[in-house]
Amino acid sequence: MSDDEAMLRFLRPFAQMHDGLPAAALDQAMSAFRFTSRTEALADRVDENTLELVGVRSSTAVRGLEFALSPLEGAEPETVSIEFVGSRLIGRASDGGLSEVSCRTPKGEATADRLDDATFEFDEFPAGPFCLLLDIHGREVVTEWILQS
Amino acid sequence: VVESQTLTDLVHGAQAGQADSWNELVRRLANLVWSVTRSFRIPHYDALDIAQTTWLNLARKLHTIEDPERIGLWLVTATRRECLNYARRAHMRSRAESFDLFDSQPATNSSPDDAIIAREEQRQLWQALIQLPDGCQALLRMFLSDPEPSYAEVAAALDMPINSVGPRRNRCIQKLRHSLTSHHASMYSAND
Repeated sequence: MSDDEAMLRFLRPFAQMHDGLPAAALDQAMSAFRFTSRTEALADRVDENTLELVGVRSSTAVRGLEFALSPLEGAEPETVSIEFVGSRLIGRASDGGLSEVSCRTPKGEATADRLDDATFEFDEFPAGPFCLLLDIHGREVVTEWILQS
Repeated sequence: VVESQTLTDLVHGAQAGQADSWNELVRRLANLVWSVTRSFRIPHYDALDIAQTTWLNLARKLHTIEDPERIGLWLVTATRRECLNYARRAHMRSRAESFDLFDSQPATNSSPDDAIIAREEQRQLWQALIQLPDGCQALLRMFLSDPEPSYAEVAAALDMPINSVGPRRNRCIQKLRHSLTSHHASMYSAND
């Protein structure tokens, strides 16, 4: 063993103690498995941007994400875009057809506070990871897991 | 049985819906995911969210994994992306998390006096490490993961060429040595 390796080996137990994997991280990772057997189509994240809205006395950053839905045969590609504005989450489906939108966290689900054919809104998005479930043109679609907190 | 399986076996088992395979996959790779968040010095509770998001996305996309042996690289890349998103949002890149270095018991089986001395040496070494430049600190924190990550995984986490990982690791350890007194540095010789 080289001196370098010996040094890392000497320090590793201390690093693990102060920087190591917490039990909560292991538990959360294991419990993620219950989200594997879903049947919804997956909407992949295809774009992300942050826009800074500059006001007179302050500025606000607005984060935008775009998800692509796998196109149905013969149909045009569709996207769902969302923006985080303050505590709100505002979304839009490029081709309309929304009939239900909910927000899923590892602990539960909540439906959108406002919804019409092409837009939806949540007054507050959850802390921690969540994904969106959309019924769009009769198809169940789920986004990637998102982290905004 | 799962303990003796390869990563490929475990991924295939998890893809087939076997929770045991998934749990073993998590046991083998959770430290790797966590070490990426630590290399970015993400605060503890945000790092938990990032790690959880990474695992949730792996679970969701498990059926799309075509090369199970590279699952570690997939996780490292996904975690890095979440860390960068976090850093961009919070402008936290340069903020170091403060650690309470004095509230845990030493991990050693030696006598209480030896343990105290070893712990103090480790503490000094750790203090030196967390004062290294960001790049070195990130790299060494990755290498302090247990089990130690592959060079490919470190390269993916830190977005650097794989053939520069070894030389940079050596240079960072040299910097760590130089930041210690000669007395302390001599204690970590492999010949001792």
